[in-house]
Amino acid sequence: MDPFHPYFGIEWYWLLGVWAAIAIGAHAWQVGYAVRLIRLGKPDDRFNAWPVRLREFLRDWLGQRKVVEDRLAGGAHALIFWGFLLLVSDVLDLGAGGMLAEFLEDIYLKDFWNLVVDIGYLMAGTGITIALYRRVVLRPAKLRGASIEGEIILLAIMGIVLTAFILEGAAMLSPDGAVVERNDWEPVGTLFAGFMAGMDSATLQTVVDVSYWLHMLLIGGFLIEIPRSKHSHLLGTIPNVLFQDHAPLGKQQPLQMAPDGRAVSTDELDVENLVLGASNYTDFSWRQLSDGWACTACARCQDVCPAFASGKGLNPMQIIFDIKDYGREHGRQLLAGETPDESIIDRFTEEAVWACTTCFACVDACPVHIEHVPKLTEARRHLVMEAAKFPEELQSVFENLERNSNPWGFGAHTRGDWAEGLDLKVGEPAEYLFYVGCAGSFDNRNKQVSRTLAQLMQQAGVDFSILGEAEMCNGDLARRSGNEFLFQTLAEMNVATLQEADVKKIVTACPHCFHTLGKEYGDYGGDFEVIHHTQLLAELREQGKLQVGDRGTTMTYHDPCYMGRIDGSHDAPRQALGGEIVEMHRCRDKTFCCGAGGARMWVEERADQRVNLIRAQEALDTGADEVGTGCPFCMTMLTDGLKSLGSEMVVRDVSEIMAGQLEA
Amino acid sequence: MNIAVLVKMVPDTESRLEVRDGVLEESGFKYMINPYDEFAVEQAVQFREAGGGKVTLVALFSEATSIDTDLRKMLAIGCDEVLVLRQPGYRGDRPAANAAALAEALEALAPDIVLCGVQGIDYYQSATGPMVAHKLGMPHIASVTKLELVDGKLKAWRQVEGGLQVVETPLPALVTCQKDLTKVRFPALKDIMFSKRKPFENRPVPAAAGPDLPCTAASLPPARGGGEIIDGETPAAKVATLLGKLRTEAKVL
Amino acid sequence: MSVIIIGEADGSAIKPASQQAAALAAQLGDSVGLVFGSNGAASQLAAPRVVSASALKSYDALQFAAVAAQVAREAGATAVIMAATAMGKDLGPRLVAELGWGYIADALEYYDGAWIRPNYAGKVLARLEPDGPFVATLRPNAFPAGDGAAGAVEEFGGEVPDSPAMTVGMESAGSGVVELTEAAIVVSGGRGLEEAENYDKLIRPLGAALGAACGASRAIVDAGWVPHSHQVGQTGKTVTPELYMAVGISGAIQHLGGMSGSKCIVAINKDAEAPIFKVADYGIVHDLFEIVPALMAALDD
Repeated sequence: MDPFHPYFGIEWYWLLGVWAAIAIGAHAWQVGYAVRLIRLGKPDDRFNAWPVRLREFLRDWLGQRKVVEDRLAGGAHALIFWGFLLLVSDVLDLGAGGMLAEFLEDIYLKDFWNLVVDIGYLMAGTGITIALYRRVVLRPAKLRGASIEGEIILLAIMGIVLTAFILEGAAMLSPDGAVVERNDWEPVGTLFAGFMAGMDSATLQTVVDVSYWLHMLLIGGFLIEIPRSKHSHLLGTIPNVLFQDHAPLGKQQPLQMAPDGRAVSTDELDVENLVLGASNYTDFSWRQLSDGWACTACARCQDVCPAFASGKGLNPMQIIFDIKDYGREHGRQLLAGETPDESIIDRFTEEAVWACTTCFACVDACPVHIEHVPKLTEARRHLVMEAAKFPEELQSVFENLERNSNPWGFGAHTRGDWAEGLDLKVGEPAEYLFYVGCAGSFDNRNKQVSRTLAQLMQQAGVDFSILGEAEMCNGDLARRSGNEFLFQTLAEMNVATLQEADVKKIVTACPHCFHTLGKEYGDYGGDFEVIHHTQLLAELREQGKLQVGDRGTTMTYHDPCYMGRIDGSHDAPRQALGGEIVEMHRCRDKTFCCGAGGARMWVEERADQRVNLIRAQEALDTGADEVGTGCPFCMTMLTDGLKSLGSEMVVRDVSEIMAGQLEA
Repeated sequence: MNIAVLVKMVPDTESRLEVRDGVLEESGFKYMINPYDEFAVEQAVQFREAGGGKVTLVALFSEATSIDTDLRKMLAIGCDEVLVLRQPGYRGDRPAANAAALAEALEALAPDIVLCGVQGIDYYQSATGPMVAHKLGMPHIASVTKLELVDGKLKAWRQVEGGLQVVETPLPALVTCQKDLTKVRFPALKDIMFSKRKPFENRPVPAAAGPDLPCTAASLPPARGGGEIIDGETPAAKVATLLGKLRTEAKVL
Repeated sequence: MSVIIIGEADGSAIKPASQQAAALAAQLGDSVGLVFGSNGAASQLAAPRVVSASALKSYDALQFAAVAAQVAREAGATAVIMAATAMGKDLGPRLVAELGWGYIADALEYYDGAWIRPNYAGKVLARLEPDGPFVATLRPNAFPAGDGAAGAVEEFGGEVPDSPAMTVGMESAGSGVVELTEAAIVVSGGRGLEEAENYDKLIRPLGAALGAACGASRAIVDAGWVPHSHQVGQTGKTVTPELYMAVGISGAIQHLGGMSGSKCIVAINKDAEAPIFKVADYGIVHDLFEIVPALMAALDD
């Protein structure tokens, strides 16, 4: 029994044709509109490394690699996704009145195809059931307040699945309800045939007809709805995943690149024609804009964002919604080349722009490779360098960096004073340059860490030198807060100093120095091999150059964002420390930010919105005696946080813990 | 409305201070704009934005050192032009001689209002402003924390012990600016770049002469002994020792 | 030699700083006093002869400089001394310009014809040795006051020029509160105070006793004990007083950044390991709840 007959005197294929034209037309027009909006973005040449990209695409898009990091929701989604990939050909077949099936029969593939399609529908149906169960029964906290849209969509696609099975089953029945063409290659269809056997002819025909048109209605409706809602991700994820960022995570781009692949130097910048950061929609690159249509509204970025968790006005998911919504709301003006009154920064809100700590948890969590942070850092560049509108606290920080090359404004000539009495090589050739950083040079607590590390290295026989007074801030703080011009000035000066000193290998105790020197200085001609002190200490321990005994205390470890997540390295500190470590729930590459990154260390936080308190509480909850870390800012934030919580829990750097356990 | 702002270049507050044979080592100093003068620049620009006119920045400095970058920032904040008087043998601790050189340049400009910082953070003499006013034959109001320009008259709130003296004066007049008179704006990078187009004149002036008293010997105050923890049997004893030291040793009470 | 002392009235009393100037002037030579706007204060200035320009009640640079110059010339003076108050720091330079003499501002010491004054916020001391006439302003409390009062007081009989400027009023700073960034002495409280009310119980009275402005560390501003205007530190105000007293403050780098330029730092904290002790010139490692009352009792004397 099939639905392929005239209705009210009109052949079924005319009716379907009209509906298909409407649905496909509306879909194509909207997709085209979105593509035009995305193409307003600046160029970004990611049309390279095709073999790698195709591999990544298969692994991440087809293979749903990051999606399934959330076992339940991700698993359900994978089933639905793969299921629909398998069954999509069935739509064509149904639309063509069964002609596809006939064609496949001629080439002996029909049975296989039937089975594949059935499996597809079955997977999809299972996935949908799990998803509904999660939404309606489990009701996890993150879905609280979610609109009913989620359930409706799920029910709708379940409708597609069920109607398909009904049609399959009906095709196996004769007009009087007897099973005549049982097709074992469609097991579920057969099952449904069994349910429907014995129905009288008229009812059966009605059921078949209704199912068919419901099926087509839902599919057509879906086509119309896809580009408007979060389901744009069905198409949007394709360019997003295919053209994912190949630069190291967290690396920012210089203001202007020269043909030789290096940054244009400060003196030669074409300032007249330079767009400093982004305040208009069209200042973003096309790839930044395509993020808006790739977002699935899964809220994983929101869940891991420290700014959001501490109640600040930043929700990374909302930023991505803003890109898409702004584009569609102002589409007419944008496509006409006009600039809307509302800037994209107005839409984000300045509060959101400044709340970000650049911890990259959002980017890491996103299953479809959306790049949240660059949108905010680009906005910051505009706010600082063009609009001169930024938190007051940063004004003196910028001035201090300019005048004394450290954010606190201590005299530059006192930078090497922390090493007094240690008899270190200063400005002399050595295997390693120990790049101390501002905190390690000027902050009393972190000066202790610098001294401890220097002494450990001396004990282990490491040949190293420091720059002393000649060292300047690496500029990370200027870059993350949008003062790219200041960053570039500092970077160029530092590269000159380092090159003059013929530096090849750098060891540093600060993850921000590690990141900037190792991954970003290359643009300015500074190619150095940079290692973090925990990595060096792990090596020294393994080589037996440092004999480390057992700890008497229990400890937990806080991975700094710029090591654990952004560099993806979190084994070294544990190897260096040895012994047992009680891990926090969010550890290693899923570490939770201490709150100091993105220049937030220098910006006021309202008392009820402290990121470091959240993390300090997590450390406390492990019940350990102390918490170890490998970053001067984490050290400050955790110490502060624990004190605020009234705890006696000790915070120590990896080097200090090792020094405390040294044998001989 | 013709507004002149006097700006002094002073050594960075964090500069290393070394005294050798009674002479302060000044060769290694990095110079910056006197912070009090920045308040004056901002105020001048605000006056111009409100009532039109021109803001001319006048600075007196030595011949050699380049101060373009710093002064360009002032142009970016909103000054219209810069005049730097280059003097051989310039010293910052000669207010009378410096005031004479500045006043001579200012006479040609015939300003309606002259603004400058109340003091320089190098010598803290608070002298140059009043001396310039005298040379120009204008009234001056010093250490002003609030300033209004209404109908061609200045109304100033001058800081005195325990409060503020409110003074009005017609123009022309000179005002020296106290901390927080204004909130100095941070110039946008674009404005700094475009400031290269504004007039910037370096003008040589003759060496200084005047009744200023030279420093015959410089010395460092007794070193901060790295801190002394005060002992005592009782709180009262510790307190007594502390107060004694604050009065006689540190001389801050 | 003849020395003019310019004294200042504070209501109907002469300012102690002016008496300090008078005592020093007496060492230098025959002193003649000059007091503006006196309401009985002129007779207290310790000089054999005091000229009182009682009609000049409000400070005006032009008028005061003109009158002082007349008195100086008429007395054949070769030195003018006054306290480096708001008036002194303003009148001094204008008078110097009027007379064409040398200028010694904010003197700390004098011995044998040599004056010591502070440069670079007191980080360097300069010695000046005038060999001609000069005007000197003295830092309040750097010199001792003497006893004594005026010998004879006479009204100023010379010419007072017109001045275009006009004083139209006086405004008080409000409840005697000293502005934090300009105060010579600052007392700050921190987390060691334990409770909000202890700030009002201990810090404010101590501040009043010292004539100091009151500041706070970020911890207690965040806790809501005091408004943000009191915050000293990186994200608050930077202060450069002569004396900074940190009570119950540990001394995290963010706070230090706001007060490390102070000339003299005193720390009171019961934790001997607190970082503040590394930058303090004087420290008392003791419970502040015992020290602060003892301090106030001692200052009362």
